[in-house]
Amino acid sequence: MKETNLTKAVAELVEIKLKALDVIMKELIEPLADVGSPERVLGKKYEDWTEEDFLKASQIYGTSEPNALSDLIARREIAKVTEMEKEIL
Amino acid sequence: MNKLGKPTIDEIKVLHAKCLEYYQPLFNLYKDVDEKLYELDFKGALNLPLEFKDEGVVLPTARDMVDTCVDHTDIANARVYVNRKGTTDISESEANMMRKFYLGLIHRTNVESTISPWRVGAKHYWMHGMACFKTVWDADRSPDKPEQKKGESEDNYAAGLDKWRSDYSATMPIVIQAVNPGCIMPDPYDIGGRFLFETDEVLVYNVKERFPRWGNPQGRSLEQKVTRTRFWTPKYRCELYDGEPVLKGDVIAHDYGFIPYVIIDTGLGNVSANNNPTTRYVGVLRYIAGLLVSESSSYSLSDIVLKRTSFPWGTIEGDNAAQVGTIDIGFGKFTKMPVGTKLMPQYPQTVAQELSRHLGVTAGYVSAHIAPNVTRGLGEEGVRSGVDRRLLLSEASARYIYSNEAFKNGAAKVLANCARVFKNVVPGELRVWARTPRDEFDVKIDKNMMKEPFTCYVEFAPFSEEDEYRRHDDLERLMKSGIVTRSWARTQMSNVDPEAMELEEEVERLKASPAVQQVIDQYAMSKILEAVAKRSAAESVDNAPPPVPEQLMQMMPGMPVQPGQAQPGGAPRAMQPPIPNVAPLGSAQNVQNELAKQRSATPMTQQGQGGGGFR
Repeated sequence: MKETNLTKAVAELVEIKLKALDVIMKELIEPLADVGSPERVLGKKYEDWTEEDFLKASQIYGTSEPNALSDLIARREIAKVTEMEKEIL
Repeated sequence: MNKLGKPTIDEIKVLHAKCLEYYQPLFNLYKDVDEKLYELDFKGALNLPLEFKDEGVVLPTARDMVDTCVDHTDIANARVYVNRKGTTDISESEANMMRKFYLGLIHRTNVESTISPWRVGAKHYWMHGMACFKTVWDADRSPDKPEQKKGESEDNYAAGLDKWRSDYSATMPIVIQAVNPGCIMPDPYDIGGRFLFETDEVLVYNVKERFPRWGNPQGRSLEQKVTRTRFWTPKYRCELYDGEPVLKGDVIAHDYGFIPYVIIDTGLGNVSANNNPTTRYVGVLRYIAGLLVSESSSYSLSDIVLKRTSFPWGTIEGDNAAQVGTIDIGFGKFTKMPVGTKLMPQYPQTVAQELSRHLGVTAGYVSAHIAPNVTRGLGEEGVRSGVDRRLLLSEASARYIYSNEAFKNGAAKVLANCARVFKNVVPGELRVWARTPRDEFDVKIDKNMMKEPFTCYVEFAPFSEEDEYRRHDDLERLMKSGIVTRSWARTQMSNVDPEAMELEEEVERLKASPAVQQVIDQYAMSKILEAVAKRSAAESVDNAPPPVPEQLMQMMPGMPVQPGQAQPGGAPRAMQPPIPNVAPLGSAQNVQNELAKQRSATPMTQQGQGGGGFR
C-alpha cells in the first residue's frame, strides 16, 4: 500500500494505542491476573514448593488441564530448561 | 585514505619537523598572546614609567571575556538522539542502546574526571580558537584478569573471575580527554585527516617504568622531562620519546580505523588562501590584545595619578611663609600663623578624569568585541525596559551561535569515535548509567547490537533558566494560537520526553474510558471470584470442617459436601465450591451478556408515547 500522510497518521495512532494498551495491561491487568494464582493461594514461590504443596495445589485446582496450575508449572519448567540450555551453550 | 602506506620512522621525523615549522608561529601566538592575556601575565607590557612600574594593575578583563564565552557554551544537560537504521523492533532497540551508551559516556566521563573535559575543551575553544578531544582506550584503567594460583580450587578461581568480570564491566576504559591545542599538529592540508602529531612532556622515570627498552638518547636523569611525540594515521601509530621509538615494531598498525582526535574550530578565524594556521585558529583575545593592554595601562596610570593627586594638599603664601612651623590639623585646634601668611588649598589637575574617560572608552571597545555587558549580567547604558534588554541580549548572544553549533557537532563526533573504539578496540563489556530529564538507566552494552556507521546528534540544554522559561512561554503561545501542535512543542523542550508524555496521556485517556473501566471491572470480578473459590478450596484442604450428619444432608440436598465425606448417593463429593457461572472474557456468552446490558430497558416500540415527560 502506498504510504500517505493519512496512513502514516493512522499507523502512529495505532502504535501509540498499542503501547498504551501494553501499559494498561502491565499496570492493571497483570496484577489482577495474578490474583488467585497457585503461588498466591499457597503463599509460596513455585521454586519453594514441596511435594505436599504440589499435592495440595492439584487438590485445589484439579488435574484436568489446562488450568492456572498447569499453566504455571509449564511456564516455570520451560524457563528452567531454557536456563540450562544457556549454561550448556 | 586506505592507500596510505606504513610510514618509516625517518619519514615521521621529517613530517614532524615540517609540521613544527608550519605550526610554530601559531604556537607562539598561543603562548605569547592568548595564554599571557588569559593568565593576566602582561604587567611588563603596560609600559609604565620606571618609578611606577611596580604599581601597575592588570585588569581581569581577558579572563572575564573568555569565561563569559565558555559559560555561554552549553555543555550540561546533554540530550542524545540516535537514528534508527531500519524499521524493525531490533533497530529500535539498537538505537535505544546506542543512545544510552552515548549518554552514559558523557555522564561517566564527567563523573570520573577531576574536571569535565567538555569544560576544558570549551575553554581552549574560545581562548585559542580550537578545541581538540582525544578518544582512546586506556587499558590501565581496567583491573587485571586474575590468574589461577597453584593449589587454588576451581570454585575459588571461578569466583575471582566472576568478580573480575563484574569489576571490568564497571570500569570506564575509554578516555575522552581535552588536549591543549598547543600540543596538537594535525595534517596541515587535510586538517588531521591523514596524520596527526601530539607532543607533550613526561617524566623520564615514568617512561623507563613503562618502556624498559627505551635507550634515553639524551642521557636525562630520572626527574627530568622527556619529549613524547605521538604520531597517528588512520591505520598506524608510533610513539617517540626524545625521538626514539618505543613500540615493538616502531610503527605499528592499530584497530581504531580512524585518527582518535576530534578538532573543533570556532569559526572566528579565516581560512586564508595560503592556509595560514595563524589566521585560521583565532581565539577571542588575539585581536584585542592591544586594547586589553591599553585598558590595564590606562587604569594603572589613573590609579597612580589619583593616588598622588587626590589627597588634599596646599601651599603657604606670604612674606613670612618661611616662619610657619608645624600646622596642627586636629579637630578644634588653631595654629598661630605669622602675619601676612596665607594657606592656599591646591586642587587635583583634570588629567585623572581624562584617564578615567579613556579607560571607559577602552573597556567599551573590549566588551563590544567579545562579550557585551548584557551577556555578563551587567546593565547596558540607555537600556530601560526588559524587552529592550532581552533584544540586546539576543543580539549579543548571536555571536556564540555558530560556535555552539560547531561544539555540539564536535561532541557528536567524539561520541561516535568512542563507539568505534569500544566496538573495535576495547575487549569485554562496558556498563553505563546515567540520569537525565528523559532517562534513568544502568545497562550493559551489548557489542553485537552495535552496528556501524555510528551516528548521533547531541543537544545541550540552554545554559540559562531564563532562556528556558522564555522558550516555554513562547511555545505555549504558539500552541495556543494553533501555529504549532502540542507534540511539536514538546519536542522543543529539553526537559520533556515527547514520546513518553504522549504515551502517558493516552494511558490516562484509556484508564478514564468507561468502556475500558467496564472490561477491567468485569475481569477483576471474575478473578476475585476465582481467587475466593480457590482460597476457600485451599482452606478446606487444610482444615476440613466437621462432617455434617447424614440425616441433615438428606434434608438439605443443595448443601456442599465436605472433603472426605461421602455423597448421599455414594458418589465422591467435589473438593471445592462450584465455579461461578461467569462467561470467559471474549466468549460468545460474554458478548451476549454485554449486549444485553447495553440494551435499553424500554422497548423501542413504546418510545415517543409518553408525551414528553415532565414539562
